[in-house]
Amino acid sequence: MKSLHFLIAAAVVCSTTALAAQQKVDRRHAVTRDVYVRINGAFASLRVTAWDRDSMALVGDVPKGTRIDGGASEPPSKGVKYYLEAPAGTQAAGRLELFVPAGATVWAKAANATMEVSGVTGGLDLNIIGGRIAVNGTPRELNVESMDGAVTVTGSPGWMRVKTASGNIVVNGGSPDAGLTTVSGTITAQGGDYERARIESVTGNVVFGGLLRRAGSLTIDSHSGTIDLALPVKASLDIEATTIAGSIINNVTSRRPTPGREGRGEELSLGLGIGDARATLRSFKGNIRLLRSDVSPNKPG
Amino acid sequence: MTHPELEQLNDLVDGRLAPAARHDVEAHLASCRACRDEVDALRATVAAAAALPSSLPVPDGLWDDVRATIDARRVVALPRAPRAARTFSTRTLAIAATALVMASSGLTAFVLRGRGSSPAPVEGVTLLPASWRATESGYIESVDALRAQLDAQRAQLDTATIAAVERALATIDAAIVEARAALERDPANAALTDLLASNYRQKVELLRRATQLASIT
Repeated sequence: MKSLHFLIAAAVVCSTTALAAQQKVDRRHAVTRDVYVRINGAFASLRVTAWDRDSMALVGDVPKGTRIDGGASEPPSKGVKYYLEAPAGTQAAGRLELFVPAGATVWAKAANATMEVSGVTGGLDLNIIGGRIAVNGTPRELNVESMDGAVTVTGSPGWMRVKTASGNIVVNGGSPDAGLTTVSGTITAQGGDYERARIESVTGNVVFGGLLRRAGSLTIDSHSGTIDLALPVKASLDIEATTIAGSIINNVTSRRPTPGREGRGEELSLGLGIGDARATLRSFKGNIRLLRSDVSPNKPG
Repeated sequence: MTHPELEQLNDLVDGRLAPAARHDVEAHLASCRACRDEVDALRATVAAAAALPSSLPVPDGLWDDVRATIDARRVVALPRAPRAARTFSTRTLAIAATALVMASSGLTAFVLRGRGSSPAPVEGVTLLPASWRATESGYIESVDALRAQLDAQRAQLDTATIAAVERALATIDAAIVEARAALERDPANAALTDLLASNYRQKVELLRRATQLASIT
């Protein structure tokens, strides 16, 4: 029993010490509806939430000794900028919440961090090395760059570019103009509709289960990843699939792939419906698979 | 003071800032690492631009390559239906302009140094189509420039980040070697050319991103 009391007391002391080692952040500014907010530096998590106000707030806790530079211009401010510098020799550990008008543009950059954004309809430019980025909503422009961190987008940005080295990319939604790129992560795009989409991987597998708009185009290139294209029953598009050394598996029609140039790899040209969209699939030595999905057919453009 | 506008930092680097404003900005720089980083990046850009030659003699044979490139692209696939007009943000245009400057200056440097002096494509260069050789030269010079920049910043990056970048580069390089060897065996294979170009784009893009990591680690 004594040891239990000791443990509880120790836990209380430790948590109190930890709290005391934190400093509160609470910065609030009157801003325009399309304010540009830039936040950069030492934080471990950043949650960005859009709200229906002409103001912004940056709140949270950062380790004591963290330097926070920057601020806002004259109110209502069109631009706000923060830079956080952790005390020397310490890891970034701050946890921040940023509330901005929905139409704001947010630029955030951190080393290893979790970034979660919801409801922003302006622009987003997010950059991490490791950690995780999750975007919910339909920003006008979305640019995400990550090395190892995974990226999840749920929504339909008007323009979207997501690039990782080994981080996985998941898009639940679509975009009129999408570019998804990874070296060795996986890319999964499903659910929404696309007008122009370009997907590139070196070794990562790619699954595309989105819908192509009329006159839309999809290009998927991979060196050694498997490319899976999931097609709805009434899909209407032309498909050109080419491998240099891999196989093509067609589970959509009875057409069989033909041997590729010089007898290596395989090729398959397929016209579905009236062919009002176009998909080009190319893999050096990964397999390409055409699969049936149970989503609805092409949406009108 | 709050952070100076980017224009003020630009003017400072260009030496066009009024004395009073310069005093304020320099005082701010003394205590703000973020702005110092911005100024350093601007100075590096100015220095890199200044290092470019103002004019270049056109070497023999260049026009043959240009003509071959044009010939190879004479047939252009037109879009299947009219598309909405695209607009580009200033940022996109800036990135494109930077890439163009890097690619063209890289290509120029390649030409001036004499063909065949680039590291990777020396063997079998004659087996590859002229249009691809020109494209590849641009990629390689961009890679070399970015790689040099990354090496110069290496001390500012933590070991885990460097390891992640090197792993990704090794993956891309292996893919480039494999695709390139296949293209040498089958130089007219358009799909192979596209796949190889995709690998190079990945490499340039990865290096570009890696050079920007120094400011956040």
